[in-house]
Amino acid sequence: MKRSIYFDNSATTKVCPQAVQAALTAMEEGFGNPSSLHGPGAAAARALTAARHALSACLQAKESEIYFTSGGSEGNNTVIHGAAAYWANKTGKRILVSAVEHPSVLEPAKYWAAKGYDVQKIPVDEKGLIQLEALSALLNRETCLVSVMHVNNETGAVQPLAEIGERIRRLAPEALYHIDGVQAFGRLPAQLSLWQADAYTLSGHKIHAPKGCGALWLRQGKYLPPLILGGGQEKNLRSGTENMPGILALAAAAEEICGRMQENDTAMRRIKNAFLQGLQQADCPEWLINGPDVAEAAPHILNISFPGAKSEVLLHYLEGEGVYVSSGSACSSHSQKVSHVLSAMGLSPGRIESALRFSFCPYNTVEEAEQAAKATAAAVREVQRMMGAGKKRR
Amino acid sequence: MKQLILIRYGELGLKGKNKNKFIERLVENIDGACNDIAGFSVRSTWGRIWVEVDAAAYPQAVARLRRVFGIYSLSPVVSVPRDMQAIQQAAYEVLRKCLPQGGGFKVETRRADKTFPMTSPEISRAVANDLFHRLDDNYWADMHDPPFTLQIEIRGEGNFVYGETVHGAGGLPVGCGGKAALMLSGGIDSPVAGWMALKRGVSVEGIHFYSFPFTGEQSKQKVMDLAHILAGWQGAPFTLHVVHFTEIQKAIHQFCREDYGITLMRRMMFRLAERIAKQNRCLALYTGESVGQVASQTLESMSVINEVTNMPVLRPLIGMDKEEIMAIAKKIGTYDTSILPYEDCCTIFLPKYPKIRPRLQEAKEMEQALDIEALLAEALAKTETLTIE
Repeated sequence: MKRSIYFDNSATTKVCPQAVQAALTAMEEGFGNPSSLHGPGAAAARALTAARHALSACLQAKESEIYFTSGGSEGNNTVIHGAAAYWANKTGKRILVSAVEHPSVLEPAKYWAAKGYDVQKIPVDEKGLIQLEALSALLNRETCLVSVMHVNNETGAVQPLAEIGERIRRLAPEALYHIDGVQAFGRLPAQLSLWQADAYTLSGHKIHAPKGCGALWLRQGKYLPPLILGGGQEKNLRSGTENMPGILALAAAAEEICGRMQENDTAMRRIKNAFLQGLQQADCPEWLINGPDVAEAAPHILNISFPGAKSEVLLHYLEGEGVYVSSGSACSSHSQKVSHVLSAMGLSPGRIESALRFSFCPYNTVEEAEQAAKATAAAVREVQRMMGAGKKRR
Repeated sequence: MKQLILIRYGELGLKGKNKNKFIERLVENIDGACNDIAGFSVRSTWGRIWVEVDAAAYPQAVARLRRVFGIYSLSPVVSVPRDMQAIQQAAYEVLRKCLPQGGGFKVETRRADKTFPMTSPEISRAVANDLFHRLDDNYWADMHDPPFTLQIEIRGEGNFVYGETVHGAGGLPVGCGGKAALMLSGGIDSPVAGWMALKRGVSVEGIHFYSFPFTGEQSKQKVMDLAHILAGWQGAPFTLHVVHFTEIQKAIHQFCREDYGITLMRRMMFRLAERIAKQNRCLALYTGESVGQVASQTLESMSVINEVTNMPVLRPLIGMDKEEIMAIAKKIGTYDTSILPYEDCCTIFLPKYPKIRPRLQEAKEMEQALDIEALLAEALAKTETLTIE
């Protein structure tokens, strides 16, 4: 059988057995509608409450603060559209987002900028970390929303959320403080109180639950208007019959991953280090880590540039070897789609075009990392040779 | 209830002795396109092709027939007994259906059955008189430039009334023009060139040059999707040869001058295409080239590239502008797939300054650095042949 090493866990993950079982039970047995008045409905409603409880425990939050969604994009959209439509009336029209946010934050922000809102991007430093002084300068009492990531999806940079929260409370006390936790949840503890946060978005399929489920934590007392109107589910914030298989799978996956956060952290850091050591041992040509130092980054994400080799070609070379990774930018003769994250960090075009993201999960192994490192070094050598050959004869 | 459809095949009528073969092929192709439609049957009699389907399936049948090359136009037809009253009733119903709001019209009769007691002009007049008795002032006779013509045919095999005419795809039935190999990239032009081959009755097999890992799965999938669309026009599964082109790309890139990269790459492509075409009994190569569109499509480039083959290289888009090609691509349904971002050639292999006027002598000298036979053999050995429904 052909080798298959999946190092693209920040794109999506394999569903864990606990989540599969939970979804299966919800589809085959407890398939009732939680809104129904009969027994099967009541059973579904109890399962829903249990799932909410499980998730609230993972976040050390109240059950009543958990709203189930379809995933990260919906959570981010709910907060940004809601804050712009509702909170802006109380404070003002300034919205702050970091320059390295996910498109599901940047695009809604752009939408409100086009509507005349004062949308500002908080710059990051060369490691991808938010510049706190710049943030302070941008915060004012007109600010209705600050939205930042917990962990960056491309570099694994962990934002200084407590410092950001402290500045928001001091300089823009009325602003809603939203954290996009899609890449962080289940990998790093959610310290919502310490950060003084108001909202936290998470997604199921990044933590070994299926696609199409997620949750939004919204601090008690904070209100957001709904994006979807209808039967009033999720306390009117998100109408639509609850996605029970997804919600129960999400809760099962969350319990599993949050219950092993410490050991998972250790395991993934071991994998990451094995990969880096493997590159060294395989004598991989020049390579540069993008983002914070390995020890400071999230355990599961590693972004490396291999100057002189195009990332998309490397990706397919590795694919040919059964190693699946991701590239931040797409190469095309018509459009050069470049990673906005690496650009915001001020990296050179050569470094951006040659960047690959390796993202791990607790189900990966050190052996996989060693094999992938060998394959990567070989691919880099081959692609650099190819690209160099052309240059000489120009 | 059944619906009868009259099929007209315009150009086929001109083909002299071969006519019957063409008609047989067209009937076969119609059968292939429609035989899963409820109540379908097809027959050809007296220079006409008749299709019958369940009345409810008529729109579906029309949609399919409009994609069958060789059909010039088609009309839904009402079949009536050999009786003036029945003819008049059918004429009234067809007119009301086709011209519900009223308008100018003309009645035309063809009487092949000379035993019918009235002549053609007499029948037309009688039907028109009857119609004007029944219709209001919103209808009038227009003999010179009628927006609508009601047709009546009195024939041995039956009597027919019809009015509506639906345009067909035109051209010639696929398969009656032999088989050719189409060089199919993922772009806008080559699928259109393939469509134009099919339109003239030529069956097509596709040849695609694939350079994994320099391009990804998606670029291959895109070509397969285009092949699927062409299969619909061909009315038969589409054979796609996916040539492993990677080693050739690499060799040219490594050993030859950068500005000649495209010229040499195209020469290799034509060599491979010729061999695959011959193996598969294809008589010509089709490409989507148009003079001057890109560096490899100047006359100088085309002549240097063409030099490697004696096979006819047909370029149906040769005199078209990009806009015209795009308009056809949209019409035939390939455009949206063609503009997907996955390209069939990695930017690594695209020279910054490609040679616009390459010279044959220079190209040949540079090819000295390549073991052409070995490269071709390897590419052919690793070629994958797919059948796309």
